[in-house]
Amino acid sequence: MRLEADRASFAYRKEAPCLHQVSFAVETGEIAFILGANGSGKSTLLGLLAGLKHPAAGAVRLDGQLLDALAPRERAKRVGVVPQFHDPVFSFSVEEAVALGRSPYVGLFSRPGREDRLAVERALDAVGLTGLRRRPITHLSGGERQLVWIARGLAQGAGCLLLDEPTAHLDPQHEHGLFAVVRRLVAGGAAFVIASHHPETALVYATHVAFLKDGALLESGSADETITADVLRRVYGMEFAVLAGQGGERAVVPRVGAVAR
Amino acid sequence: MTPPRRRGLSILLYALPVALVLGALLFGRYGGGVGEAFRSLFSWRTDDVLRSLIVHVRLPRTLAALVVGADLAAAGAVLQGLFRNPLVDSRILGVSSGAAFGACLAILVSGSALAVQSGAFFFALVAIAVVLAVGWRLGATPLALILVGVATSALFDALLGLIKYVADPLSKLPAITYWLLGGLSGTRWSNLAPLLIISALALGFLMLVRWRLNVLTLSDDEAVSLGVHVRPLRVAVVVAASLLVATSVSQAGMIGWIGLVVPHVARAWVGPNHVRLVPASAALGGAILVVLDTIARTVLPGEIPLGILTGLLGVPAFLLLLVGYLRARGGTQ
Amino acid sequence: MKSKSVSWVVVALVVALAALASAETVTVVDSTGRTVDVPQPVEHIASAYGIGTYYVYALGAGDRLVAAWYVAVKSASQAPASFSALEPRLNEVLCSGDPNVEDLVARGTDLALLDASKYAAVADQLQGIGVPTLLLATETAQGVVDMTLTLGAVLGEEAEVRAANLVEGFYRVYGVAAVAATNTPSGSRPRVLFLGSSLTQVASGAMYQTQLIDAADGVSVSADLVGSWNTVNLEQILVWSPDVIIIPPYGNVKVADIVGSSDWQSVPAVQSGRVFKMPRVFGPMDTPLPESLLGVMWLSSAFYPESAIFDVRAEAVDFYQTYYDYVLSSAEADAFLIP
Repeated sequence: MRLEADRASFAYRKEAPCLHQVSFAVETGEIAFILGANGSGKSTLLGLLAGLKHPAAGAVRLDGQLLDALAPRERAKRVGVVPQFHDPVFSFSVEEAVALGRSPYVGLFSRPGREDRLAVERALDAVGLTGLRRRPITHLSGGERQLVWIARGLAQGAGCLLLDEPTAHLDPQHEHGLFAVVRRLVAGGAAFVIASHHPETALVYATHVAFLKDGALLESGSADETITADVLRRVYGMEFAVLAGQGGERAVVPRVGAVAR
Repeated sequence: MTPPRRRGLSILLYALPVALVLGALLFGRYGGGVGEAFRSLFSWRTDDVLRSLIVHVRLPRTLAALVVGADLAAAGAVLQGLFRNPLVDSRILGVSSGAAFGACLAILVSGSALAVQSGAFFFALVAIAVVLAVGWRLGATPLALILVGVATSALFDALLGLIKYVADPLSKLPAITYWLLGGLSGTRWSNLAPLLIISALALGFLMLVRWRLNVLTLSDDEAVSLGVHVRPLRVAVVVAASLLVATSVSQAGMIGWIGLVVPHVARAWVGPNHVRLVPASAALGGAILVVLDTIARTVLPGEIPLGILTGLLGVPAFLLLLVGYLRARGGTQ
Repeated sequence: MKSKSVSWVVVALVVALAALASAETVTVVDSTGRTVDVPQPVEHIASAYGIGTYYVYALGAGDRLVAAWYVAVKSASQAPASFSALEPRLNEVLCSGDPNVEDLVARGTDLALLDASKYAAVADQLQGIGVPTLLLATETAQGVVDMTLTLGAVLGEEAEVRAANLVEGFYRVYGVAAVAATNTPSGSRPRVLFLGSSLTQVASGAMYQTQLIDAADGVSVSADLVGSWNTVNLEQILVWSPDVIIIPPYGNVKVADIVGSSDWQSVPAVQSGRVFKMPRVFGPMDTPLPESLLGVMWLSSAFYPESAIFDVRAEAVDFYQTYYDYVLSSAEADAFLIP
């Protein structure tokens, strides 16, 4: 599986292009991070990769085929989207919410069948939510809810999942719990693209990253090579130190003056 | 795999309307009471007035109440999901206002029952067409549809005000006022067919797509990413729900609160999954309206308008639900 | 020469004195208890009280109307065929909706008659700019009598005489009906259903129609309903089981709708063929118009066809001749007979 943007551009209005000739790719077994400041075009790029937006120039390809040329149903069976944080309006059970991922397989006038129920079982198991299957999603923590959306993407049969700032509202425990699941799924053959504000997380989990600045690709490459103090300064406009610990821990630390006590 | 307790509840939910319809036939202003009505049903005397009343007056009317209640509740349920807002009522898209205008215009001009029913339905369709035509151009998003619906409602309400102003207070205005309060006293077998046919088609469609309706409660981006054609589906659902409202209003006048409150109660009972919610809302809405209509035509010599009864029942029910809902979510925020 | 100019001065003085003498004012009390001074003579009448308008005609002042609202006639198309005989200038004077103060003043109104239940505020405005205004209401027979006399007092001598005659006519009719009622054996009063403008609309006990039924010695089946027009269902009508059904002269209901309907066959009134629609020449006689005294008589002959308490046909001919200066055609007069 290979999902790539090839010199893709996008603009809401002619005068204000928000993405300019960005090239980016992810393959099976990879965790790719898209990093950048607010308004740098992260969500737009994610939208292009998901097929929700159509490039004004350049192309987005899935396994060599133009994404636009795929029927929405077919695309849905291969690429899944996990949206930004939102409070659900209705209290569907975890099971019912994940079952929505079977939409590409269930006819307009039908309901999920045995096959679909099995797929939902597998998805719940893969993210570890089997015990919570009957819980209403309105009664879950933020981290658990993210797992529900990921399970939904798995139920779709998607080989690649696109996550838009998945850990924005999560505490460290839930954040790293989430990535533990992500790592496990990737080991099992999935691919993840994650738009994020957190270079420090990318440093730990990403196989490769892309930095966007003002809608253009600034730098891309393996996490270790690309996440440097110099790149971070150019992207975020402030000083960072990239540190390595004794036991192999990696960290990005802002260089801020010590607080007077 | 539904657990046994839930299956028991389901059986109750769907047996209830049937039982209520049969029971309603035994009540009315005429005749000595339930026992006499029961005996009359099995009497072989062809000139029995009570049986004639039961078969020709009570039965079509009670069926109409069942169908109208089901229509309004089902329409309310799917519209609440469609607009991702549990406060949506079946009147939000302006269909009822269009129907009200059409009916009152027909009363003004002609007064015949057929004209009123057709006039109501015709202008309901006009309202639907306006909302869809303008709404589609604005992207057919929930917000666009609601805004156009509100505007359409306002337009027809203003025109209705004009009709009330020029209507003759002696012969036309009482009829208009009464129609607007809602009621089924004019229902006969002869005018029931449109309601039954349109309800069957529209409700049938909504029942067939009811699992897919769950996807529409997600954001548009999510729904599209799941491969669903959101805009056409949303339009189709709006048309089906609007047809249900249009045919109900044409038959029974303005009846409010069923479309708002019944889906809430049904949701509390069977959950938000449309697979269960749509049939449950329909069953519950039908049951409630059968009971209310029986009260409307039996308790007092004069007919009590249905709209008044649903309002008197619906408003306190709604407030209770609101309090429960807010409590469950942890207080007012 | 000098005597000629003196005589001109004397003539001028006499004319001036005569003019002063005839500039009188009549003071009356209207239906809401307001005391109003009405300078005489009244030349331009505006009547925004649909019922009162007909009285203006009955008192002979119809040609002085400049703006008129009529019960049951909101547009020219609603006027019955004979209406042009009553008011040849219908298109000029017919008004509908709420009265517009400026319009009334533009028409030179020097007396305004307004519906007391709706236009108290308009009355204040008109009175404030110096137009004498009477607020009128006729809930009961006594109210009708009072209003007739009040109008007679302000509309001139001829009107005053006519008003007295009309009131006398009311007393005669009600009196004769009351006497006849004392002779009716109790329990044989007919039960009467008075319909509205549809088959399931009936009059409540508070309405004028019920008072007319009482005066004609019938019993209204819907007397315990309240408010204005009530809607009932077929079952209730069968429960009431009326002996006579009366249909007003406005609205959509025809005798054939009832008599020909299988639903109504078990009603005694239908079985004995006693379903009647009120005839109408100008205004509907079930409302507090002058015609309502014909209404009492017509109802009486519908309730007691054998007793012939009133000769309705002859009374109708006489009534329209006396009060509206209108000669009923033979067909119009026959319409008052009970079939």
